[in-house]
Amino acid sequence: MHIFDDYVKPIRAAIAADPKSGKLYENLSFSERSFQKGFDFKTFNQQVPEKRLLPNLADFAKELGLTPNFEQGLGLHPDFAHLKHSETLEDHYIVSMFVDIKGSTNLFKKYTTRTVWIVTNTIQRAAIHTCLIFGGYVHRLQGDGLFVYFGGKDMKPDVAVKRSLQFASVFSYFVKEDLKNIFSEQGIENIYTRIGVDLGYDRDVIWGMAGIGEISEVTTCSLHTSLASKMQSYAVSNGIVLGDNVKKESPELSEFYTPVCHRTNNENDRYIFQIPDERFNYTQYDFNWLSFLKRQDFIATDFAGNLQLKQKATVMANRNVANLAPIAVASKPYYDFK
Amino acid sequence: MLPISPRLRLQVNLIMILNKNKSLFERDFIVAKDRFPKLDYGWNAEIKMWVITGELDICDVEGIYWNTFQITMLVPRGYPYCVPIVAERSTIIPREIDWHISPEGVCCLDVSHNLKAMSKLGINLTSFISEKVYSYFANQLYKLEKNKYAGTEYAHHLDGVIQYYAETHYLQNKEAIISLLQQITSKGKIGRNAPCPCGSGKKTKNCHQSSIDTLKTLGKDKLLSDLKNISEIVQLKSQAV
Repeated sequence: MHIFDDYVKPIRAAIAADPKSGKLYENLSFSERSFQKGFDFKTFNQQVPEKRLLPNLADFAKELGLTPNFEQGLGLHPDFAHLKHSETLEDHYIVSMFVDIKGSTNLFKKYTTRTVWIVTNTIQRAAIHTCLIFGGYVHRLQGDGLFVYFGGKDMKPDVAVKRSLQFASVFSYFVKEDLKNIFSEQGIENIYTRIGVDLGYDRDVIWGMAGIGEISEVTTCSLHTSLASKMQSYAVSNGIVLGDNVKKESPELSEFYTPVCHRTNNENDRYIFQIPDERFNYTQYDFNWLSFLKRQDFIATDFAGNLQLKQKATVMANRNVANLAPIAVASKPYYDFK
Repeated sequence: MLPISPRLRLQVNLIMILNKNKSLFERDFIVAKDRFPKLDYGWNAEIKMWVITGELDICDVEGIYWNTFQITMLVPRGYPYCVPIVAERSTIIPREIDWHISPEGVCCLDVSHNLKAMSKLGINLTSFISEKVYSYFANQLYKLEKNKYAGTEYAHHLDGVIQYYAETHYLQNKEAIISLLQQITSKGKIGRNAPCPCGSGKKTKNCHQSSIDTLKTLGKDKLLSDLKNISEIVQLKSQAV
């Protein structure tokens, strides 16, 4: 898809420049040497700026017509910031998502701590930037992963659900395809995501301050936030598991949802949560995010079956009609209409 | 967790049976949808055809996106032994004869002889869309940019049929086509060691045996129609001389 190419570059450079990777220093490019020799936070920030999208991802945001809001702070959702240091609670829906990045510990087997730092932070910044593009709010960083919310006062639940699924799909594709290539070339075990998503309606979610003084955050207390975290652990590698409410709020996407028990062949996995006395049975679903992503307006599947970004908003300087010819030449049309 | 209920077990079994009972078309469509994910299908009982509708995104070999066509494909119930009809619902292609599209948007993907021969062998939906439909629309985008097609095209109407016989079966003049068609459509069998009906003087097995086998699959009616139309042209020409 190329939208994360600019994030892949620093990871590649860091890996190539790692003293443990065995590449001779003389063979390193200038940028690789700068990682190897003069590495510091500043160098990293130049490669992957905090509050600026890298060019390909910026084109992607432009294509979607979305602008990321970089002015956010952890643990303080802008729509509920007024609850900080207050004794007020508020009922408001939210989509909760846990993005877990697995396998990064394996990097320590082969690379120095500094290289691992670059790799994991680049992946995390790619996740944050992508989340912000889709209007998400990063509530908490958890190791390499994220706990994010989608939705708020000016967004309806169905839109929040759709945006959350778009983010989860795009980011899963990045990890599954782009990162896989890097790590398989290096012969190390892959890094993969596991994502859990759920929606809690107004009646299900309480917003309020948790903690004391400055050791606090404005957060949600909701069964569905808890379930999102729990469902993440049911996801397969690079998989997304979501709850019944997400399905209810996106009936047009029902073809992409399959109860988890169909995969595991274990009926016990059908419900992620039950209250038998209330006959409350809450189903968890595997989300076929790749098929969903292929159906998005901003994605095209090319002749070879790869996913490509439809770039209509940006000028395609590299578009060359000669590249259509190898496909077009197979056609030999006729006309026999009266 | 609750144990599986008989009702749920029934539902699971039903889903499995339904999948098993899917027609060849439906099973092939699932494969095609992976490559062309923005297409959907339904069954139209009135016209007794599968109707595929949706968007076809065109990218070049570098994966660069070019445009999206809204299309409809009608697939006869005889699938895979059929020729799907493809129409463009968007109006990106000019509705002019030189663009090989009818005023209603029906796309002339190939000379009917090739399509029919393909249908006799049985088509595969994914291959058909890749090889005939995708390339047709990519070619139209090429022409929109360059004012010409990337490869060659058939002439319109009967001239295109004659071109088909010339290019596919190496029958370089109308007399040779007529002679071959007369022999194929006559009751007598063409012996493999007999002189080739094209008039080359070679044995048939060393000349047009393969073409004869292919042409026979098109059906006698089609060949008789070609024979009649081409003969009329030859007669008209000789009368004019």
